[in-house]
Amino acid sequence: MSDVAIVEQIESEAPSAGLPSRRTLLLGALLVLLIIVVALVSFVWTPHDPTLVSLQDRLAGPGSSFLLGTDQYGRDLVSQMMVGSRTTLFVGIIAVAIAICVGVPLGAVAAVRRGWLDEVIMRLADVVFAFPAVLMAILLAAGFGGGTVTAMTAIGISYVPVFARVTRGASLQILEREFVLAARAYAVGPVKNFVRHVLPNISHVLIVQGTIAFALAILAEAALSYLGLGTQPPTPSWGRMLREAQTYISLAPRLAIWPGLAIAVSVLGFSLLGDGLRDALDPKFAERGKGPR
Amino acid sequence: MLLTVEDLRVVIGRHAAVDGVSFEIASGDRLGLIGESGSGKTLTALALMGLLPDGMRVEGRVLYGGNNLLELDEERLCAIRGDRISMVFQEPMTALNPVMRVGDQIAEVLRIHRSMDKEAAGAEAVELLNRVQIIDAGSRSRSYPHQLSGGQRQRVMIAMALACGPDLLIADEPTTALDVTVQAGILRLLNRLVEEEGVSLLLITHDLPVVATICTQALVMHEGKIVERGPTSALFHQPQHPYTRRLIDAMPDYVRSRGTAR
Amino acid sequence: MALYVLRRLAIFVVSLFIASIFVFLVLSVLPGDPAQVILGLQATPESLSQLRRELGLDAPLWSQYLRWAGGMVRGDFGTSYISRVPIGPEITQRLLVTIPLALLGMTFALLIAVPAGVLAASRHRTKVDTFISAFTQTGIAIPAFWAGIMLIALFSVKLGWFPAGGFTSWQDAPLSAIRSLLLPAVSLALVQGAILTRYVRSTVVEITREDFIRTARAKGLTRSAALWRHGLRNASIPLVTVAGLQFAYLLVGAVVIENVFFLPGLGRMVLQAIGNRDLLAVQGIVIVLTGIVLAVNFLVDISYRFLDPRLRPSG
Repeated sequence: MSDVAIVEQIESEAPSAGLPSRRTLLLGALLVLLIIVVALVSFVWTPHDPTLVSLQDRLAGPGSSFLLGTDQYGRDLVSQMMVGSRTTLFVGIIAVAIAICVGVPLGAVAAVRRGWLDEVIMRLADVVFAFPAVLMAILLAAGFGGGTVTAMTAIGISYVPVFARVTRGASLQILEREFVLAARAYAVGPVKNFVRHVLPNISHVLIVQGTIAFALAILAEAALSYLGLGTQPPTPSWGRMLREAQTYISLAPRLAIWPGLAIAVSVLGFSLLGDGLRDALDPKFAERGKGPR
Repeated sequence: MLLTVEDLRVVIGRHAAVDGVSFEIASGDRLGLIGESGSGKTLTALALMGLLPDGMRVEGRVLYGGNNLLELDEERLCAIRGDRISMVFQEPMTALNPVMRVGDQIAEVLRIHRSMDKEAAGAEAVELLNRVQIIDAGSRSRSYPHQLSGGQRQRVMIAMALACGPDLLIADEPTTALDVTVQAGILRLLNRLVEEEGVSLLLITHDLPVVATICTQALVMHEGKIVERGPTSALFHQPQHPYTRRLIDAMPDYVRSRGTAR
Repeated sequence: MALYVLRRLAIFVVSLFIASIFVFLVLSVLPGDPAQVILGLQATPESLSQLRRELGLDAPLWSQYLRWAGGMVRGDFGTSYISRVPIGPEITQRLLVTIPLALLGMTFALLIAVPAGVLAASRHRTKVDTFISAFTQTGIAIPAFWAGIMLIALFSVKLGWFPAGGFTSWQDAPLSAIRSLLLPAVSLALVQGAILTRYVRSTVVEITREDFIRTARAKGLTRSAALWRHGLRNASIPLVTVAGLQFAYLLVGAVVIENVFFLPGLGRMVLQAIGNRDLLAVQGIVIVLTGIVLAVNFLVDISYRFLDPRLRPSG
């Protein structure tokens, strides 16, 4: 068994990390909801214009007019953070979408067809897997220039192997079990057969993987923006805010604390959600409580 | 009296898996505990050793050496386990540590209770492997469990259990996981060793012929309670309780007629 | 066994080959022209084409690739168009910062993860377990580079115990060099430690349920002694695997962290190269990093076979 498969097995069999799963799910969902709400609200209203430079207000402390203070250009921290949440979610959604849209079909083909196609796809996946998201983004940024699109694409591509492998693994289990069904349904056509029979049974795995990939995508985007390879000015991005804040770390540490906290909270939200969903959607639980699919 | 069990109860949730079990084991006794799966026989054995899984409540008394084992602290229990009371489990493949050589695993018991050094314990382990009739004990002791057959693994377990010369050996379904052809050999080994060492034996099984060959006394357990007890021959030839009768009737004739231990 | 090693080695080589093609393609399919970048906008067409011929840029793509790959096999990473400095030696210099940083980070991570994971597993489902699990959840959510900035704020700016950045060379002042790596390594270790703690914990919990732990206790070992003496031995096998696989992420984390602490490693080099449009340098750096990741995966694969006696050939 390949070592990565072993890791996945450990991960999938692991009892949830000691936290009561319902509470985890709730907390995660709440945090995610919070971010989404903030992002949506930011389209309609922010306390100040996040890009408005106002040098007389530079490096102001938290107060009545600027809730968390201002940065070195007098821009309101809260407004920047609110708009930054848009970037965070946007990159996450697109990256995960890319990963799923490319990875799941690849994994499905590998599982259904087996043989040399399976080998080739998995070997290619291993190669791509050797490029963690940030490395992939560095490569693409060097080649095609930095920016949000490059970042999203790079992160998305780097997660394709994970989804391919997870889809393949979960599909194999289903195909083995419902082999008779699949064989009979071959008259229907393999694609329809897969979508109608296999996909619903593996969807819970994909959802969980998706939320976790989302969390990792947020981290990757933040790192890239920090390095200057991600979202470019003037679009606010939490990662870039941290880069700028580092210069003023002795004068105003809060400039670095708040965006960092925002990142951590978002990532925490999605990973708690993923963990909670893993337990909630576990078919073993479902059989006990809700009845057969 | 070596071991006295008084009104033992093991409760899981609200269900009493072992419900008021009492029996005695005298020195030199060979007691069989018969029951089907779910009767509570394994839980009884684990309760004696203090090795029940978490989440179960135990009540009653288990008297050994003037102490109630159920109330003894972990340190004193550890001194008894492996040294005075030993246990052999059902699945030798999973019961042995897969990444440790079998000789080392046997030697470990000696090093815990007899403070032997590595070489002495290792040599003694080889000796023990000889006693349980493992051929080429010297090199076999350096093997890993997966390199041995099922029967050999069980012999290793027995060697481990008898290493310190315990007063009581509890054997929980020692032959159930083995091939039929191998079972007889293990039983003969147990029989011989128990007699040679003068160890008392509590043999737990659902397999009546096994009890017939080794045990002098037997208890029949059903749904957490003991429904019948007595000398093996009496049990087999004149079963009183309807459940016992059903068990006996389920045995093939040729086994029944082979006779009992005493 | 030898066959298995050879097979994994072949996979490693092929993967590296495919990766190098991928890297080369990405960095050569873009609209920029290195000759233009070097000579500037005023350059004449003749000088441009002459420079292109010199740099071998007029050759077909596959030939350019072979030149680059062939050079790398011999250890020659080419000379940067921009800085006119050979890339290979520069990379080697920088590796001497990045690799120790990554290794130090992994060491600290394991020092955190093993005790924490075992503690959480042995106090399974108690408050201690929940507490530790909460910690790991937060640890995983924190960006390593943010942790670095926070550590700078606390330990460098406020307390002045550690330098906020920079690096003295290994030859000149080795102790000072280690001191410069400490905060960066801790930043990395906080995140990796959290990840590894979860693996340790779940592995140990699984093992606690195993039969041989019960046998160990039946022999007279206390619960914790049984776990340590028997459980850990079994747990270390998948743990080595996980740690090895995580090394890729740790390496990339080091690349990012170097930019927080201004360490002269590969991370800073690649960022500067991107800024200078020094694509040949980026090529070399990326393939080196990928090569290290693939090599570590290869070693982990082999070691797994070695560590687990069940997978070794008989004897």
